[in-house]
Amino acid sequence: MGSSVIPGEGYRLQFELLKAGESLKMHEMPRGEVGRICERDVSGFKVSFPSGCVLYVELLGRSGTGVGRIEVISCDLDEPFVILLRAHLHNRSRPYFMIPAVLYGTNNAGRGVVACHPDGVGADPQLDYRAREVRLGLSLSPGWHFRADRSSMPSVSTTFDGRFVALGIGEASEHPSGEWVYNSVGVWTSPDHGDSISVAMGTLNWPARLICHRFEGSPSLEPLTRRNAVGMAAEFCVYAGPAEDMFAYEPFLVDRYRHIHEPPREGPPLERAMRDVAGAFSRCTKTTPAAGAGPRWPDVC
Amino acid sequence: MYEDDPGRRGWAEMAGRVLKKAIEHQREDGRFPSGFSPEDGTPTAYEGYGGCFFVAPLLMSYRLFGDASAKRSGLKALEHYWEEFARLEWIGVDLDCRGAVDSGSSYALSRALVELHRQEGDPEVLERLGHVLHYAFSYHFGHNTQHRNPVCDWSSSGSRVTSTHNAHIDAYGGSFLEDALYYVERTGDGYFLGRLKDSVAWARQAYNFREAEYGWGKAGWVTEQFYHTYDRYHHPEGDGTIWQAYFPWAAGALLDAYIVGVRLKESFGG
Repeated sequence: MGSSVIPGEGYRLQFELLKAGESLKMHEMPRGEVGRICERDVSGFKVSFPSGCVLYVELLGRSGTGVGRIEVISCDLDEPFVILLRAHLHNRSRPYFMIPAVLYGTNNAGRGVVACHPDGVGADPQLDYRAREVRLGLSLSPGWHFRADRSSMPSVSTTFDGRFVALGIGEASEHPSGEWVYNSVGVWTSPDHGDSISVAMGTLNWPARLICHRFEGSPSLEPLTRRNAVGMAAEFCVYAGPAEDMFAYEPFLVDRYRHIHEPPREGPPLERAMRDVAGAFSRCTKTTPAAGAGPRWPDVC
Repeated sequence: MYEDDPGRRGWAEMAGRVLKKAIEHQREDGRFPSGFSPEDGTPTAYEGYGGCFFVAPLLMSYRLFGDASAKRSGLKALEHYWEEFARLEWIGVDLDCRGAVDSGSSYALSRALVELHRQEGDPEVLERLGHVLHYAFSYHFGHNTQHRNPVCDWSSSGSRVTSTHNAHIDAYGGSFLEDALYYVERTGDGYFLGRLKDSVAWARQAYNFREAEYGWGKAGWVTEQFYHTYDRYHHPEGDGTIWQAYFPWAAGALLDAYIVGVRLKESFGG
């Protein structure tokens, strides 16, 4: 039997398999079955789950950020599932968490502020640190997991006790056939199990998805299935280092940007774009208020 | 800049009258109100980060009119808002997501730090500006999101997410790029240079290059909201759709980005 954890300084990593049916309750933080690490070779290792799924984790060994690739190499599960890579934190103090563009600290949980929107609904996800229950009506939860494309740099990081730890993952897991599923990223805090951060192959929305400033009524998955799992692969990264201050996340995001960077599609030349946008702007001079949308110009100028 | 144009100087003078009112309500710790009564101008709230937007104009007031009290007030506020920024969690001011942690509030701080560095050249100020830019760019995509319902092959690399509350892309990021350019011109920072080039390139493809390219509207029109993920407000589906409406403010933000793009080409080529 191999080990189930990979130790690091200030954290330990483990792989979990989360099945769709048994795990997804809004008021119970999901915990999957833990994979065992086995069959190491020069480029990586296999992870085996009791319910019949095996991963191959390839370590690509870049300097700075540790980058790897997870591939599902066999699967006997009939039930849809996601694969979590979780970093349990060995923290003595309360960590600062960041999911770029999604979560900064707690998003002001406990400051008595509910974000306002013209629709009249406040629903930004707020982290209720180590709370025992989810209070979705107040946007409060002790853990959150989001689809990776909500984050501008799909990753989750934390700063605590002079340390910085981060996990990143590609936006989607991809199959050689061209099929893909979105991945996900998240934060967990618990009075019983401590704090952890995770990335996942497939999407775990927990405790609920936020759409149009409203939370859906339950957690959900965009999972891998027996049909598409084998061959599905995702790039991931693990980054750890000292944290002298709150800005310890900066070198990680710089490194991550350089690794995942793609240019946008090619647009018109700059001078042409200026003429197009400024010309349309000057031609459209009438204004009409639009209900619920603030001032905008009408669709027909 | 308009303050350098004698014909526009009246604008700066009017802004000066607003600043005097703000100073009357500055707290001992340097903080300004984040809201005022439309009836009589009295403060309605202090909790939000919005008061930071007074700091750059106060410092400019010193440069334009020699108003030393404005600079003292601005410096006191700048220190206060810097300390709040350094906790990386604040109550934001973007109109659509008032109260949520946002990126737009950090633009107030970057503009203030640029103005102070212009006046004093202190390297510590430039270092702080770098931290603010790192934060602001944390909301910017470096890759292109995959879309299940794309209205066209639009890209997200270089764009920014509005806030932790509003999970869509908008063009407002164009408004702080001149601060990033100021930093890059003085430091040659390759990471921020890449981010700047992405942002300008995103802006070049973020409007209707031809009629209905984005599924609606005339050539040259710009929307406010691009739905890069499942969340959406004004379209039945997300994952690649947009809000089909023309927003002049968004066009203005793209023009801001283009102007930075011209200066970027002059300074760095390409």
